[in-house]
Amino acid sequence: VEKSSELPLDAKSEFVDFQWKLGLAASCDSCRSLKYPYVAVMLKVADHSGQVKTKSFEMTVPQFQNFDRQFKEIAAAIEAM
Amino acid sequence: MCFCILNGSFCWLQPLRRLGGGGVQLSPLGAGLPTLYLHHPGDSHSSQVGFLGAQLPPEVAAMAQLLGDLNRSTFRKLLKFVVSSLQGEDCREAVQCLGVSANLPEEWLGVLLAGMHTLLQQALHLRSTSLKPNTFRDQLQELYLVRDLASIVFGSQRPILYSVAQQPGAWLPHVADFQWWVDVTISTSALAHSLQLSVLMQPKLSDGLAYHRFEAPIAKFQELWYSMALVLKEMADLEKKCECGLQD
Repeated sequence: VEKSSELPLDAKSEFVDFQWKLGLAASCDSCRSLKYPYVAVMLKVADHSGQVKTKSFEMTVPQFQNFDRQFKEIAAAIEAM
Repeated sequence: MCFCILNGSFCWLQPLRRLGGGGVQLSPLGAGLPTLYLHHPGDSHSSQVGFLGAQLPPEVAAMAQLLGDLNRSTFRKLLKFVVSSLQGEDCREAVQCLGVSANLPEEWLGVLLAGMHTLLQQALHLRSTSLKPNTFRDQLQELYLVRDLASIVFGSQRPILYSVAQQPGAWLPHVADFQWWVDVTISTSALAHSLQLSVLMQPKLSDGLAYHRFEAPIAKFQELWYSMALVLKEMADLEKKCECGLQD
């Protein structure tokens, strides 16, 4: 159920917005009692021309926890400066 | 001769048979063949819609006219070429040679090939559950084509021919797979504790081109479900009408 996309590493792209959703896939055609939690993210990025592009992806709970840890590390690095 | 109701009026129809003796005579109705209904005379109210449809395709009707006088082995050879061409082979040269050796004029070759091709395509396109061998034979009985065609449509080559017939040609793609999820949105960046239910659907088409995943909130899902029930009901009604014979 994961749709992952590469974030552009183009330095001229600018972060615009971050929207998220915490969801639970209750059931599906192959599994009636799925109960699969996930975090879906919609990232808005503006490229050098100003055009806003949307990137969507999903994370499992462990993936999100890793994601969260990255941000904590970034915050710690900023603090240390 | 038999009466047949055609577009609300009565008219004479030539039955699908060779006329007179010796040599093929095309029906005097010739190129302007009226639409022919595949049923027995005097039986118009109980006929089932055949696999060729309520209206016999003109190329099949034209072919049937020529069959009466066609040599059986020539017919079989032509049929073999049609089957090979359905599988993608180029048989044009071989067909021309056969036409020369069997002394068949080119336009007859064209009529025969077109008719056989259409007939086989129509039959092979149907699943073997919806067209039974006996029904097929009965319907072909009226066209004097029985044994050879039945052995192709229901013989050992059927799986290959069926899969070729399923390939996209003039047909629209069909749904090959359908996945769904019931999704609960617990909270979002815009709204905490939203607890919204929605259905996520992902149909995959037989042409494999694109898969679409879309979301339907519960209200939209109910509408979709209602529409499907309506379509099923219409299909059932139509089936009943066909069983009772089409009235015009």
